[in-house]
Amino acid sequence: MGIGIGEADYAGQIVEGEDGELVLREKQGAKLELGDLVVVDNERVKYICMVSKLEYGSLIHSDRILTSSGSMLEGVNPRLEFPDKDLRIFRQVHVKPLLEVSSEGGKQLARAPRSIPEFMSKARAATAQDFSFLEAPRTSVFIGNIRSGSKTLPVEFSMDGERLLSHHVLVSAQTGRGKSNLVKVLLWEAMRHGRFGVLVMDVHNEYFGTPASPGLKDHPDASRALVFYSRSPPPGQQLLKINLKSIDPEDLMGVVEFSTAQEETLETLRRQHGSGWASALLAIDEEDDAYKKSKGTIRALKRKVCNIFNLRETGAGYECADGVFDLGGMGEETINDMARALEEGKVVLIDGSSISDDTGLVIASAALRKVFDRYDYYKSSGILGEKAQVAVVLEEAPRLLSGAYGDNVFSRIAREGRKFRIGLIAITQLASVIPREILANIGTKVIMGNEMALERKAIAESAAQDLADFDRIIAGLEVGEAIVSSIFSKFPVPVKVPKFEDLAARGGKEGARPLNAPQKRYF
Amino acid sequence: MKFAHMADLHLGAVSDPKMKELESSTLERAFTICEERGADFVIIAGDIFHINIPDLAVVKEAVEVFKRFTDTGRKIYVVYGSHDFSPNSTSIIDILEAAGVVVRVGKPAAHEGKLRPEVVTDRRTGAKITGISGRRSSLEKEAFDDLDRDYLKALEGFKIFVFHTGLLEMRREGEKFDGISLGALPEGFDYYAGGHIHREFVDSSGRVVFPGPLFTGWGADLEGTVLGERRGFYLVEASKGSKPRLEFIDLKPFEGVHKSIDATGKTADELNDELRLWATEVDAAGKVVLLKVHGELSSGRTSDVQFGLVREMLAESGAVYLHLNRNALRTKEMGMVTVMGESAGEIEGKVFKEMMGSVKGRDGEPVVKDEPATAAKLLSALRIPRQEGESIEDYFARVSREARSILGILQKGEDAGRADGGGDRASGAGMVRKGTGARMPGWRGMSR
Repeated sequence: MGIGIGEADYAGQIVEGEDGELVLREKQGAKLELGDLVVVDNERVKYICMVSKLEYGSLIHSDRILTSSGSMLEGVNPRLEFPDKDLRIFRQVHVKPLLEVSSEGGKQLARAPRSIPEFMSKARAATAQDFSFLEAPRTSVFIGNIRSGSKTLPVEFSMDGERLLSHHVLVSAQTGRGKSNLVKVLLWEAMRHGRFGVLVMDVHNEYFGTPASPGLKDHPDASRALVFYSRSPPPGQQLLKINLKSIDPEDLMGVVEFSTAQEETLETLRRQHGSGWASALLAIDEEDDAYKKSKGTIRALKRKVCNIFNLRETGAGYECADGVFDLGGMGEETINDMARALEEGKVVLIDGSSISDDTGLVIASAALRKVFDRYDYYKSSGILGEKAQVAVVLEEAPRLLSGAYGDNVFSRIAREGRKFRIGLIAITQLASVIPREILANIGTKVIMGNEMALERKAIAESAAQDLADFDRIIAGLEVGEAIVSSIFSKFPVPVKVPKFEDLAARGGKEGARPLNAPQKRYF
Repeated sequence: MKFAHMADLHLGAVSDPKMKELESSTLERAFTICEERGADFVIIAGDIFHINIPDLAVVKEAVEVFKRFTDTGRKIYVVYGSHDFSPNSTSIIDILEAAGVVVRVGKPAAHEGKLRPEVVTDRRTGAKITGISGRRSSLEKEAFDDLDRDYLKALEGFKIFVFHTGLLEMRREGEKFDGISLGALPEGFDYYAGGHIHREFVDSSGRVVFPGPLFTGWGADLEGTVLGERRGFYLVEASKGSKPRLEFIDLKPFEGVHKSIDATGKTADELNDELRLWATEVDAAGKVVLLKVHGELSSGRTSDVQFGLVREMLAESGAVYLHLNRNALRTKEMGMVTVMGESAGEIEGKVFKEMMGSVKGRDGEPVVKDEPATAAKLLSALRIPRQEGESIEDYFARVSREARSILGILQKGEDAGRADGGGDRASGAGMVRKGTGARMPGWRGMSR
């Protein structure tokens, strides 16, 4: 019997099962739900299990049950009851052992189950104390509270930020299940440390925040840990203005589809004109005899370049319609600034709401290429370990990671980013489209609700732990509920991600300067 | 309306008499052109003077030029620059304003926690002019965060915003300076008159403009001028609602000639021969000469190179001024040292240790005891810049005294106590001032 546990507190008793799944007879009234955590206490060892299946059990012959049901439904004998009903009719609860926690010398050690509890052991609902074996990571990134079914336990689940980000993260969820909230929580946590550089293309401009809604701008360390680029930045933030010289043809690969002839032309332009390749391309007169053979290629390339950078031809040459890209002397350092900020452990947030997704990806590619260059140098100089761990949040990742349009910086990060301290936070509804070898390379999967069986299957098959029996649990996850399966966690951890607004309200306003009466001297 | 937009005059920055003359005549020419071309007013976007209390002879000449212009009923609107501003003492700008020579725009006022810079209306044209003054180390940045933007946007009429702050989007690749984002400028102005960055710049809207320095006869900017960068100001024709018409008035302050010599693999004697031959042949009469010598000598010391002789030869041939850049000249006898460290102090300490024993006296022994400590003390003393109100002579004397004291070669009878501190004015001797030591790559683009 567990310490302080009375008979009334038990939820069930093991009546059959094997190492992969135990079956409990549920105590009447315990009302266990899918996803609930139960604990089986044995001497010096306890097993933490998750409810994976619920079914009825009955000791009454089925003919009799059906007859009784008919009598009640047809009104023949509506008050018919079975004798000893509580003993003879019950629920059977299938639970999956997640963890074996043993006590040795007052210390608790957790590991994946290698044994099974004693037959007829009783099970109880998990409590916060059952997770006292969890140790605070070195650079703690809070993900959420441990959850037993739909009940949130007062146990915070955090992961080591260095490991989490270096080994990539996949957030799998359908729309409306709390992906954006989770990303905001992760970014908020990253900013707390100031040693994780995270690049985020915020396609809906929902992370920075507005005067009316909290966002990362409300972080107590926002002034030193956050840089925000936008076409119309609030005071103190940065204008998104990028010189085309900062973009390499390589940054378009994987985002824009090019024919072999177009790729070769781009390469030639880069070789001949260096960073001025785009201007050189736009300056080509395709009617010129020198381009007679490649007229079609040049035209197509010009069209693609104009589309991706939103360029239009005017009497005075080309100009960027939305002003983000510059063909003159502005914004030459913007990409370098982004790379530097990432290296300094800042969150670099780019408002992608008024640019196309592909344009955003090109900008992110350019910044990450710079980071790769710098980190490659640091690696060869033996000082990479002193630099901030960098990550990029990649929304709707499959197209890029699948390499549909060729190799790109994102697939490179997925493959070899770990060696360079650059990781991915890939967010997708369609994990099944991501190549298996890339999925296998992702150390942590945060699995949120998904109604598509194919997607659940794909993510379960690539998880760090065996999630074969979790299908219905994943299907039933509500907004903000997740299962974290990580190579750095000994069990698939059910968590409830806090609402960002609550997190911001707890820690965001301290130290913020009141809006009125600034204590400053102006001249 | 028509107005002139100047910035970064840095009057008083040059010490060479001939360069002073050029500086003064260029200023006079600029204002004569403004008058002749019918400028209704002149905007100077900061750094009229090189320091907040400049030499009075420099001020007198400037006031004469300014007064001639304002006596015609026209105004000169200014903001403080990072050089002629002082948070603790009066700036010469305040004195000029009190005397009615210039009008400082954008004086701050707080309104419900927001900054509302004072808006001045030019009587002649009705133009509304405001702005934010520059401060040292771009400290004015936070003022942009607190601007009452709605108030400024609601102002009616032709509006000009004057500022002395670099725009981050202006930086060339690899160039580093602090500043604000273009987006930090308040919306709705017809013209943004910028200063602080020492080069011409016009943004794609044609409304955000930096004319670069008017003259620049010093430092890396002088190199730019000799190498062909335009120096002057913008004459702006503008009216409400239309894009301003900009005309750059190139003042061509001086004619220059430049020479770059790679000393790599040469001995000091060979380099001397090459320099002498060049100095004999170059047509330097009436020109500013830029001589850059770089690379690694195969033998001999850098001090063996006879730059003094070259200077004399050029002066004899009528050169206005020689700007010598030998920062990148090294010798194998004092090879490159690579060290790493967390702070400037740590790096300096390691370099001094590495270089220990490399300078010896005639007897072959080191000339000072405990070289790293002595070098650190010397560097620390040399870091203390010229103090407010300290004349150049006093400054040189103080630095010399302090250096000789540290090296232990102070003559008998000299005031060792003064050498340790130089009196009240230099009481910071030995103290390392933050921000005065290291120069960032790409610093040539900024006000100094």
